[in-house]
Amino acid sequence: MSSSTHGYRHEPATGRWAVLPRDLLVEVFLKLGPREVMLGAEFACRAWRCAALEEPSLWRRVGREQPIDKTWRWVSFAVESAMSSAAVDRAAGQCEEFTGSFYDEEVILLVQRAPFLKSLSVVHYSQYESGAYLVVALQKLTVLEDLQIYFEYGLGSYQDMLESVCEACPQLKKLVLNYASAFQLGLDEDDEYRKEPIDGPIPVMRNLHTLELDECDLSCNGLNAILDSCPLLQTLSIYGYFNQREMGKELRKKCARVKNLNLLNRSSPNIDKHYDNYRDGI
Amino acid sequence: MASAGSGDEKAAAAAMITLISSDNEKFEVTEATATLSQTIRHMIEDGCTDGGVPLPNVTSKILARVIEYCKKHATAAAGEEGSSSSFSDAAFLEVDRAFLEELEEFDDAFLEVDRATLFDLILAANYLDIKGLLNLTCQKVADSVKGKTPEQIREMYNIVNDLTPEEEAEIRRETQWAFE
Repeated sequence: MSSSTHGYRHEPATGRWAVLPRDLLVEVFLKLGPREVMLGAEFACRAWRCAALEEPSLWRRVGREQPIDKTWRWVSFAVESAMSSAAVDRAAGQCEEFTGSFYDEEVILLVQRAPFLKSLSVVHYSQYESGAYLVVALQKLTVLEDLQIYFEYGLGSYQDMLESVCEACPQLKKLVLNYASAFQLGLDEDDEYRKEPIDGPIPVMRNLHTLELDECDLSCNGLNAILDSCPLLQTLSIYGYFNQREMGKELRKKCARVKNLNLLNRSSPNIDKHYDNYRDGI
Repeated sequence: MASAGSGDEKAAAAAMITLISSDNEKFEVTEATATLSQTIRHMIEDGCTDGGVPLPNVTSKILARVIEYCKKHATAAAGEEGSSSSFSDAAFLEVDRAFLEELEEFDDAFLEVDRATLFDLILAANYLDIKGLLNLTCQKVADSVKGKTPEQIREMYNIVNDLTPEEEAEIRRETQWAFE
């Protein structure tokens, strides 16, 4: 700061921004976000480049969706992935939030380099064998609180994703699992496509306040198990098949405990053809 | 610029603080205005503001702008405190929103400065530890850099590219994404 204390009032600003104290440059870079720093600012001069490489705190939140405005720069998927990967490395193990697309091997690499993730959002999970890779990876994320995954296609024979994820991450506060719909896969819903069955018990989730499941085949058994295992649940949204007429008094009572309940469903066509397109919130 | 209080109200006079810029200009401000700066707040708490607070890192030109910011934001803070007890919730929200809108307009106008002044404001906000002003000015820089190429950023901020050709070649190898 010494160069800026005396007599600069009338001199041209040449070079001063390059010697902006590091902690202030970090403030600016934090407001810019990882993606913007990597696409421009870090190449301006040596001091800015060094700040980008040497300050792990800049890279704690990687791949967060920024509002797309007129300054947004579109880059290819490969470039986007390369930048995210480099950002995680620069975080030097301190990465806390990650949003991105994966396949099996990548998720293993990520958890090794970012073991202290608090929030993980997988926008597209593709090329997975069975979901088993993912479960093994998630077990390593012991401080994870917020998990969202969009599976790009059906899980095939691996049919207990909810239970497996809960087992791997019993400390979660928020869990969102989405599966590609029959429509997105170009399949016929009645014959070729199987929704994820939610029927059995799940492990106790002491901290879970939000659970959202999409494209699921929910039974009263499954709903009951979720309500019993998640004492703090505030928001529960399950979309897919569900026959509300089967709900007993007891189950309705338990449901009333949940502040935001969305069971916007139709019953499975295999069970009750009459209730196709039956839509009703409770 | 240094307008002293009338002096006949001792209580009011006691709540005034004198700030002295690097070029020796004196500014008299209320304690509420001055204590938006954590640095000055600590000096007041330690009782070392008699005879004025010398600020050798801040010129009179910049200090005047900083005080302008603090006055506005101190008034807004006081207004919010006062209104909470005397208005119904709805009226309070209304007043609150009007305050915020006015404050936002003030901030936007406040940031209409050349880049050299912006630089000095950032340093002053940091030295005086005024969180709101530091946030505001750093955000302004970030917004102006958004979507720009390295070349455009250098031009905008008079930054000389001091990376050697060898270093640039290495950067290209490490970060192909920026050069596609």
